[in-house]
This record gives sequence, C-alpha cells and structure tokens, in this order.
Amino acid sequence: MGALRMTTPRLLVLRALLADPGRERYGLDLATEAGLEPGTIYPILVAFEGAGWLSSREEEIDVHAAGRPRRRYYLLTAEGATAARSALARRRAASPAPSPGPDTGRLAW
Amino acid sequence: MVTGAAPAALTGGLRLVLAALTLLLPRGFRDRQRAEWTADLMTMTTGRWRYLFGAARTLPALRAAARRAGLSRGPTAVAHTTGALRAPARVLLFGLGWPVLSWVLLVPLSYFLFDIPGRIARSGGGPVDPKSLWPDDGVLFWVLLPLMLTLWFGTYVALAGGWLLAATIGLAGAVVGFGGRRIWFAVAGLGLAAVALLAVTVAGFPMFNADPGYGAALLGTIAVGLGLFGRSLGRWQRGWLVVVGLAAVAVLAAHHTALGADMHAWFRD
Repeated sequence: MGALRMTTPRLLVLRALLADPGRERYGLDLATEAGLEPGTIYPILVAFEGAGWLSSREEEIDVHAAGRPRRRYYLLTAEGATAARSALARRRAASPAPSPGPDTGRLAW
Repeated sequence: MVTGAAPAALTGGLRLVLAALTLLLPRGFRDRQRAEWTADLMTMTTGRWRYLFGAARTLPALRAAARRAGLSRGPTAVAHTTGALRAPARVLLFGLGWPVLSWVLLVPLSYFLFDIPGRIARSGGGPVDPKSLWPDDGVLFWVLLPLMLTLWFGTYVALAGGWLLAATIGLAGAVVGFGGRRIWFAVAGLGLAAVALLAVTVAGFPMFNADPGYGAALLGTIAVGLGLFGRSLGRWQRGWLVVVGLAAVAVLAAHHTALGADMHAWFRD
C-alpha cells in the first residue's frame, strides 16, 4: 500500500507502539499510552492495518463470562516497525528542536 | 477513566448514540467497530460521552480508512479464524446432539425412570413395549407425536451409528453451512450425507449393527474437547458440547456392557 500521510496523532500512536513493539495492545489502551483523546484512535489503527503496518486479532474470551464484547488486539508488523521508525526519524529531522524523546510525553510541533 | 473492575452496563442514551454511530459505518465493518467501542465504554468509569464525541468527530476518517483497508465488505480473515470453531460446534450440537440426547431420554432414562427391569420381571420375562410409556390415543397422542417421532428417529441414529450418523452429521453441516452462508461448508455437508446414504442404499453397506458406538464416541470426544478448550465459544455452547460429548461416549459404553445390552434389547424388541 502507498505511504501514509503522517499527522501528529498518527506519529503519537507509532511512538507508543514502538515503545514495546512486540506487545499486543487494544485501542483504548493504546490511545491512553499515546495521549490521544479517547474514541479517536480507531481511524488511525484501521489505516495502519490497511497499510500492513499492524496486524489484528479478536480477543479469545468467553464474552458471557467477561460481560463485554471481544476486544481487538493490534500488533506492529515488521514492515510497520520499519515504517514507524523512519516516519519518526523524518519528523525529528524536519523539526529538530525540541526532540520528541520518549520522556517528553508530546511530539514537538 | 479506565478501570480494571468488572465491565459496567451502558445506559440507554449511550447505547442509542452508539447504535447511531455504528449505522453510519460501512455495513461489513459495523460489528467489529461496535464491539470495539462497546468494550471500551464498558470499561470506562468516566468520560464516556467525551469518548463518544471523539468517535463521532473522527467518524468520517474511520469510514474512509475502513473502505481503503477493504474492511467495509465484511469480516476480516482474522474474524473467520476466530469463528472457525463455531460452525463445527454447531454441527456437533445439532448432528450429534439430536441422536445422543434422544437416546439418553428414550433408553437409559426411560429404562430406570419407569422401572423397566421391574416391569419385565413382573410380566414373567415378557416384552415391555417402549411405546407403552407414551399415550396411544386421544389429543395427547397427537400433540406428542412429533416429539415422539423426533426422539425415536434420533435414538435409532444413535444406536445405528456409522453411516446413519455420518449422514446426520452431513445434513447438520449443510444446515449450518447454508445458515452461516458458508457455501463450501454446506456443500461438504451435503456431500457427506449423500455418500453415507448411497453407501447404505446403493452399495449395500449395513445400516444397523455396523458401528457399536465408536463413531458417536469419536465425535463425542471431539465435542468434549471443543467444550473444554474452545475459548472463543459461548459458555452455554461449551457446556452443551460437554453434555452431548459425554452422552455420546455413554452410547459406546452401553454397546459394550451387559446393562447396556439389556437396555438396547428392551428398546429394540
């Protein structure tokens, strides 16, 4: 799929995913980690999944016992990890100060 | 905002807005997104309306992303994988459940509930007709006749096993396949039923006394396995799978024990 246009929320999500690339995360969990407003993350996740940057699977639970519908878990693919690193590097190069380091909490622009 | 406590039910207002938002999504993507939103909202203690406002604000982007990702046409391959256990589970519940539960009701349960050994002894060893346990005329007879025939045929399928059981499983597969729009599943089910019926009608393989419970026990073991380990299945479905599976194994046990032989002799004679 073609390159995705990188917006601030998308970069925030990529940075949150890269913090632990091997861990599966669900939407709300990831939105919280990325610092996004709740409920706004799904267009980003679906776009990333469509681009092959994320894979997803339904949670395997007994919905009656859990008392809620199944969540969908997202995992960064190898292609997605490479693309995420280069997108974040490009953004850092474009706006060198202040750097969006892992401890700043916000991307800088 | 998010809590690890038990999920909380959604109020009517939240549900209404959620339903409206879901309706605005592409048809094939609705179930998936509704589940995501609902699960999130149920685990949030505060900020639910803010969440929905955010979801509404980004709805056009979500619609566009789903269409571009090809998710608007229907469930993803992942969802099919998760649902892969549901169809076999239903086939076993219908195709195996009907014969073995009919057998349980009409053979061992009736045998002990109506004290058949005592009746046989009191009649001096003469036959006790299983049909005598049911009303034989009047309104009740006609009301119960469909149930009686359903249980009777089911019991014969369980007792015969083999080709007859295979045909039943095949027909159940066809029904489940057509019902779930899984055409290849339905075709495979019809194929199995056709082969099994041709085997006993055209090829002349024996319909009865060819399988003393092994087919039922094999399918029953699979049913128990699905019931115990099929985590993506519902609780009730898993429970019934275990019940059906154990009943199927009991058919095998009855074929190979003296007590079972007595019960079957009573029912058949």
